[in-house]
Amino acid sequence: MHKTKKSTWVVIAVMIAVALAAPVAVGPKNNYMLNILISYCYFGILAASLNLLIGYTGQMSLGHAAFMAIGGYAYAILNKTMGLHFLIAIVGAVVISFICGLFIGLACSKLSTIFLAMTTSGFAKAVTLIIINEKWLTGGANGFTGIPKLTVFGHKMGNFELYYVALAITLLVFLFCYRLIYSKTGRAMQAVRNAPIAAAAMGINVNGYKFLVCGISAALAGLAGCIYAVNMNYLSADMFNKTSITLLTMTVCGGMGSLFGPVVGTLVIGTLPELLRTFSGYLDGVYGVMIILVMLFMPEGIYGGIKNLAGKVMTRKNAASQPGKEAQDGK
Amino acid sequence: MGNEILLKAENVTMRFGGLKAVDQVDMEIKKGEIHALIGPNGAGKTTFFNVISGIYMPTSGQVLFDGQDITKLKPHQVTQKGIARTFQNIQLFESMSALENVMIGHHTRTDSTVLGTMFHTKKMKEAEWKCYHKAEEMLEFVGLGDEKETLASSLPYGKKRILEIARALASEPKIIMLDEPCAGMNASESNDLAQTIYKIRDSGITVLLVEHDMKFVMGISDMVTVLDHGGKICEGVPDKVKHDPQVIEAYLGKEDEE
Amino acid sequence: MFVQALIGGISQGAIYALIALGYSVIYSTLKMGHFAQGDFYMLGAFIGLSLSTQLGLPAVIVFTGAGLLTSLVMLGLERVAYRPMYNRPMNALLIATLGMQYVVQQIAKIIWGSDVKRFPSMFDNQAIHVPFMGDSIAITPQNLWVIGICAALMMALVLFMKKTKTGIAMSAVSMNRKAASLMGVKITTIITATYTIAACLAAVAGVLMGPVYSVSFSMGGSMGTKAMTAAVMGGFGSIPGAMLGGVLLGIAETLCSLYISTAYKDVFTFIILLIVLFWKPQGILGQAKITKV
Repeated sequence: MHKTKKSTWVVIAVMIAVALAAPVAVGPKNNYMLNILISYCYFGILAASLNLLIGYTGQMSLGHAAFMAIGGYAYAILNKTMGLHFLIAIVGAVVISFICGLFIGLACSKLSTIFLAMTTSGFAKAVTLIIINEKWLTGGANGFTGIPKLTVFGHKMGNFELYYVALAITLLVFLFCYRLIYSKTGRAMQAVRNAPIAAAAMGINVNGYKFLVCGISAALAGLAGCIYAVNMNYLSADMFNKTSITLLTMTVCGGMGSLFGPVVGTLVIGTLPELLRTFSGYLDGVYGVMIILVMLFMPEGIYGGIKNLAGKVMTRKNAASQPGKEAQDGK
Repeated sequence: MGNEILLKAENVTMRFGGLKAVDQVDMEIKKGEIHALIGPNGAGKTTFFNVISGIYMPTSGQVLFDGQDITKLKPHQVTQKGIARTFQNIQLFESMSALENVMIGHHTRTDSTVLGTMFHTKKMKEAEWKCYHKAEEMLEFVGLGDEKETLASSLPYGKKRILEIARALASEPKIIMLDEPCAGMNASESNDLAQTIYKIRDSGITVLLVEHDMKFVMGISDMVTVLDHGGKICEGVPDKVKHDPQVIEAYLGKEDEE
Repeated sequence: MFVQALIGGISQGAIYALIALGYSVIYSTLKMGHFAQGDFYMLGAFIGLSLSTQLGLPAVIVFTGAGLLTSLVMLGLERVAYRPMYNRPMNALLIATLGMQYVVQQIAKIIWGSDVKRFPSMFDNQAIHVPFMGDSIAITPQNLWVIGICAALMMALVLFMKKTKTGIAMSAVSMNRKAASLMGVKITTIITATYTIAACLAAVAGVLMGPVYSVSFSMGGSMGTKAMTAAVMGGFGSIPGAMLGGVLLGIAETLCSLYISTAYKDVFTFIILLIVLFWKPQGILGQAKITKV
């Protein structure tokens, strides 16, 4: 049975405390900073959902931002065009993303890594084209404007309140991922990534699990899209194209196949644009270089790299007292 | 030892393009036996395994398990019916611990759903604990009790093979198929393995094994089937097979490969 | 109309084929994709543009120059970014090639800026009118050059694979990497060679298409996807397959924009990709694989 170490719980508690205090610290009127904080939330969800797919199940999906777009647009259409309550719109958007995810699941169950990568990136391009061309539904190239803010009991939520809503959703998503990973399903996912034929021989319905994880992962990305839509009040196909590279960099650099990876990735890569504001023209190149460097020197991502390093230091410390005892992996 | 037939292959043929890897093989495996499948390299033994475990669909013929037709089932369904296997070229979940590997083996018998996982139900927790204890028990059974937390990738070769057996046993099979279980093992290791195989048989699980090590096979098996060029050339108790002229001929030409 | 479109399609398809060949050689040796392939097409176009407009060099030198310089860039990047990963799990390299896309685009942005640039035609623009079944078909010299150069390069590649030591070694590696390595073939050198060839072909394609579409740093993405589709169509890893796939895709696409919809041309390509992958994943000329356990 999985046991999380006490020190890990302390880290998590500190992170949640910081997340709770952050908006107060930056000031409830500081919309610029609040937007960044909210962006950590939806990027965190996105990275975690992509991590389920690539990191845990080994399915190279490159079109993940498309699900965010599907979720965002579905929310906008349900909420604004059709005038549904935002809760219904969110549920609707998540369900629609889930169903679209199943289509990619179909591809996962048939295709090997490289062809899947092609298919998913092609899928993302197709979604972009549909958004641009179906003007009546999506607003076309001008984007979808005027998505209303959340209103609860007649009170219009500002960014300050929205942040806490987004944070709560993010924490729930991470709790969900945590429970999923340390369960029968999570083990099956990792088995599929490690050795698909052996997984099947152990009674795991390999295609079934790929299917399921694609659906779940797409649904979570759709949820992130909803937060994004509410936060921005505006959607365009262009924004999601940019998200693709950011998302990939976050997932890869943070570290795949661990729950802390997406958190680290989101915080590091999500902050990068702010640090490099004067060099914003170089951002994509920096992302590219980072992806390559991480793949070269830290294939397990920044989090994995730090963990390995810490593990090595610990082993060296313990070597004298406990010969032969390998550093714990944290699992 | 009853005479009940557990697994029955009828006229199984597996063709890859022009090549007949398995050619009209009939085979019956009795409950509670240790049954060996031998033959020179390329005789079609592993292909036959793959047909039974559902990785390949035979070109023609039927596989019956416990009286049920399992020919068209997918690998995971075959496992669910109670057939477990190991692999000739080790296929462990390398990035996971030995215990987790065995827990995955228990997959089909673990009773928890995604929804249960989401809401952390009592039922799901119980299922998880049951799975955990089963895995622990299986590791003890094969003698890997001390390696619970070791990553599969860092186990020595011999132990990897043993771990594969523990993983297969965790699926609570009626029959376990071992594909060259003592390949690459030294004498003392394969001795231990023989003991483990007896223990498995004594716990009521039928054993079907493919093996190259003649001494090992002849010592351990109740029944031996010999394949050559995809076809069955001999079947019987070890003593009979050892002296069969066709078997000797099939092996003599290939003696250097042994 | 139909024949006219057909000629346009073949000329477009020849370009796809040229880039698809790059995918094929890389896949056959490395069993890997190269997501930055389209961006070397872009780099080739930019280098060609500079050689042609800034230095005013003749077409022959522009083509060879762009091909060689792009290959050099590939050589450098491959050495630094790809080579250390050949013996690791392939996903790492695949992800690195994704990162490479953005690196190459950034290089182009730094040197040539992020505006769309016009590439003046290097050939005579006067269309030749050929009467055909009562119709008059316009064939531009551009079309002819594209088809001619692509055909010549493909022939050269086939000869290279059949006649030179490196080419034969490449085929050997593609059949059985381990055995080839045991026979003394330096796998790393062969892989480097395939990347270089792929980049060179893409660069020539870039120079050919530059005058048609104009040149910008982001032009590689969709071209890469289409060429990949072409390669898959013909049979991923097969050289004649890539040629056939390219031409077929070019024709299919032109006919689609003629009869169905221009806006959804790229979606159409994607649908073709899906159909091929699900219905005949080994492609038209590829061979089916048997899973070994």
